[in-house]
Amino acid sequence: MKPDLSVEMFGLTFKNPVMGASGTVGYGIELAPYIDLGRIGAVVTKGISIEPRQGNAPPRLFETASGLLNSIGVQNIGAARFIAEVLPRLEKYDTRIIVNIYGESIQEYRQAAECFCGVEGVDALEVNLSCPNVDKGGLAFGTDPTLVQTVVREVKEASGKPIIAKLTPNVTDISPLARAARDGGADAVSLINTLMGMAVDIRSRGPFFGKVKAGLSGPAIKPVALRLVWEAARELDIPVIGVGGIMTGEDAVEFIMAGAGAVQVGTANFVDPAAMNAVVGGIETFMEENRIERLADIRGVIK
Amino acid sequence: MKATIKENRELVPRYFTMTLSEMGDDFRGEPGQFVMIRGDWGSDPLLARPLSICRFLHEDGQIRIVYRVMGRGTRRLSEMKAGQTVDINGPLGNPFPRPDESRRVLLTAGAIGAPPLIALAGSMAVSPLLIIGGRTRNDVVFISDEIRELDIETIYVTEDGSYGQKGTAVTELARHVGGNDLVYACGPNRMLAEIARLSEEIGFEAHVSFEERMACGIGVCLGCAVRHANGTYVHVCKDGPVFNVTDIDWDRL
Ligand SMILES: Cc1cc2nc3c(=O)[nH]c(=O)nc-3n(C[C@H](O)[C@H](O)[C@H](O)COP(=O)(O)OP(=O)(O)OC[C@H]3O[C@@H](n4cnc5c(N)ncnc54)[C@H](O)[C@@H]3O)c2cc1C
Ligand SMILES: Cc1cc2nc3c(=O)[nH]c(=O)nc-3n(C[C@H](O)[C@H](O)[C@H](O)COP(=O)(O)O)c2cc1C
Ligand code: FES
Repeated sequence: MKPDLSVEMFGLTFKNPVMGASGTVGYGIELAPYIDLGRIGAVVTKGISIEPRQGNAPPRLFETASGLLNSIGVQNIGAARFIAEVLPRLEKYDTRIIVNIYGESIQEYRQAAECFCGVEGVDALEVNLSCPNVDKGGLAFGTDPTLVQTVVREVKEASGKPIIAKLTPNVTDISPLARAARDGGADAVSLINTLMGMAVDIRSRGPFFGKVKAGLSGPAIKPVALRLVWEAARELDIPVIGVGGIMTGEDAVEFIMAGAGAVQVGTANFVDPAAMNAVVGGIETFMEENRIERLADIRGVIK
Repeated sequence: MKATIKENRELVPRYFTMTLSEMGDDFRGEPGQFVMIRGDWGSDPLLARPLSICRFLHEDGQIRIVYRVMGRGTRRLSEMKAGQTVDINGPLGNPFPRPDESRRVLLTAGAIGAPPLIALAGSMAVSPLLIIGGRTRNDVVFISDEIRELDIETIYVTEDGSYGQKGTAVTELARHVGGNDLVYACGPNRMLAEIARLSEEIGFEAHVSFEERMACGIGVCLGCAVRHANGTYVHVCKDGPVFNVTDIDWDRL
């Protein structure tokens, strides 16, 4: 018998637990020539803000040992153009659509969320809580439980959509932040976003990136992501979506055993645009070989 | 897509040629396009590397790339042996606009910038003039087998005078180019910026193949941004790598 990979979250059925992570699959349609989008659980769009954003000056990428530092700066076409130009094309694929939203103030988050209120085809919003809070000198929203709770409540109210709170790993203790997201009404949390890092150009004796700090992703961050997912899952009764360094089906199974309800694949899409189909296949093979009928049988087995 | 290495050989120190076979019938690239290439070496280095297609050997279902060992990725590639397979994604990016062969065509290469220009020369009915410049002898002679095979009229230039003329590819271009000529170039950004300035001065049309660090090569990461003359960012992998020199903001690279 074929194993059942389907997942139920916030009243929706996902055909499998594998999603494309924000910022690594474009708006989703760009990957269509490479993978069967109908064979993945969901696409999470790149961060979308109310107004279009140009993104940061180059250089934007630096490869590290088994990892990638990026300083893209959430370049995007803005909510209005996304809804008018991209969504109709993305909706044709048989997969769930999750829109990742970006804001630099509570007001901006709220307005971005409002743009998707009543927009059919958008199944849920994922709120990027790693955004810099301009009112607090650029400190990420996700580091302050009170702000996390407020942002989540505001975007949920403004959009009427299920909300996934995407937590930042750049904190000393994830538990109060995970609880704050739940208390704000989050339907799920996803983690981790990139870990803050930096690179030095020893020839110019300066930072490699214009903004000095950049976000680290890829296999290098997987152990940290696993630990944080495990901690959040023990804390919460809402689904936890695991992200960070997943390259194979077996990596995904590790996250599920650590308590993840679903997983997102990010940097792996750059290495191989067909990576997500391979991750789905890998989970299926693991389940078949180990006679696991459904994901619930292995989810959170690590107490 | 998997391709098999038919040959991987050092031409001169640090410069390698790699011929890939079994590219599949649907592999139909054009000069100026590139591939993302990666060996099966685990997660370090993680990303595939962009390399231009140097030769299309369609009859044999093969392509050839020519590369210079720069860092970890190209070193790993240089250690691979015939018979091993590599992952290839491509052909990617926009090709050079087809040259109007009623005009004089000049190709200007800065050392390892030569491969896409060799592909272009190989697609033309009339031989263009190729100017290849580099620091020293090895930086220009690495590609001479291809030049001989395709019988391309070539001027070699080295900064130290160890081979061909003494000077740079751009000083040599300036000596030969006229306002009605069509110029194609690939090389370091500094060289391309000089060509942009020269083209403004003399009035010739110029198309350059531009390099920027890449992660995906297919327009999903937005990492390969370069500033367009109109102030927006364009992406080298999707909107390039070939640009008209007037498209790029050369003052703010
Ligand atoms: C469209 C395109 C076509 C290319 N075609 C060729 C080709 O035909 N032959 C060839 O030898 N090279 C080509 N390159 C450059 C090649 O991709 C880089 O040299 C290679 O990625 C370096 O990888 P590495 O792991 O060896 O070096 P790394 O360890 O990544 O870096 C070593 C050094 O190379 C520099 N570098 C890294 N990536 C780039 C880049 N993308 N552009 C410029 N400098 C870089 C770094 O600053 C560093 O100093 C091309 C690049 C692009 C974007
Ligand atoms: C180039 C790039 C762009 C990203 N953009 C966003 C974004 O816009 N919003 C967001 O919430 N996360 C963004 N992320 C974070 C990823 O979604 C993911 O959380 C992180 O990369 C860890 O997963 P990975 O190791 O599988 O890549 C981005 C990551 C990368 C590498
Ligand atoms: S390399 Fe990813 S967008 Fe160009």
